[in-house]
Amino acid sequence: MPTKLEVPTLQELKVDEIKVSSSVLKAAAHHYGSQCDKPNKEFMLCRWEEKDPRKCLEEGRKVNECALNFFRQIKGNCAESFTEYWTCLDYSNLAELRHCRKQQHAFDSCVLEKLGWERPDLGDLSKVTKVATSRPLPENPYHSRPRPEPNQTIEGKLEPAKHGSRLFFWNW
Amino acid sequence: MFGIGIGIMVFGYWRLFKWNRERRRLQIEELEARIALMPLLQAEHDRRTLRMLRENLEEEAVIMKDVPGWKVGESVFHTDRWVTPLSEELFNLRPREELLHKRFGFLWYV
Repeated sequence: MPTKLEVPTLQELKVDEIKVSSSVLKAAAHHYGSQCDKPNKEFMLCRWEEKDPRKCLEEGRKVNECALNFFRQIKGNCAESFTEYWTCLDYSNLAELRHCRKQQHAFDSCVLEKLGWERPDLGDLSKVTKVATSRPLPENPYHSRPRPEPNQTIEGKLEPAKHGSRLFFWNW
Repeated sequence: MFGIGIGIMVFGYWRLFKWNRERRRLQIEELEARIALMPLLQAEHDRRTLRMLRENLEEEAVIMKDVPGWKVGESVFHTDRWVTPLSEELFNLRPREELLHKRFGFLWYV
């Protein structure tokens, strides 16, 4: 019997979105990865375990909140150097980070002295981490049908066959 | 003479390998930027899909009001789990340009 697809209402999907363009995000990406690490990892864990976007809307909301706070903090403290950095990135065609080292250095030092954030070293963001959540592990995330029971274990003494296997020549 | 030639070649190779390692480090940096931004983009994508599904559901209820025996929002599968909707299904009631943009927009850009 085909079941009804449950879709959350528009009210439940309402979240404060971040209205920011791609080069802004890329400019702040490294610091964002080290600062907003916890809600990000929780959301990804939820998504990968439950395999269902409808169950991870709360964590997604927390991710958005953290990102909004992050950008508010930058805007409050290091606005000019950040603006220069992302305009420089925006100017190049593919937003390559290596063309904007000077502005990056200026932005990094500004953030370090005002907010105490350090830029993560190369390879730090791609390390495998363990995440601790209060959400329980979902049982049967694939909604599979009940599986048949395994075969009963055979009691008693089992010996290898006399004269070897009978299917020796017919083993296809 | 051969020595000079081979020496220049070896020097060239050494510079090549050094620059390749540097390029690999730059590529890792750019990929890390993408890794850092993944949750944000994934969350937005999820919300967008769910929003389009919701709008489609309401449109379906309006359009198929008078058809007898039609259950609104009935899934086409027998299972309970989340099935990622096809882009044709999502962009069904929108202008065709949006579907083409979703399917081929990345190719156009690149």
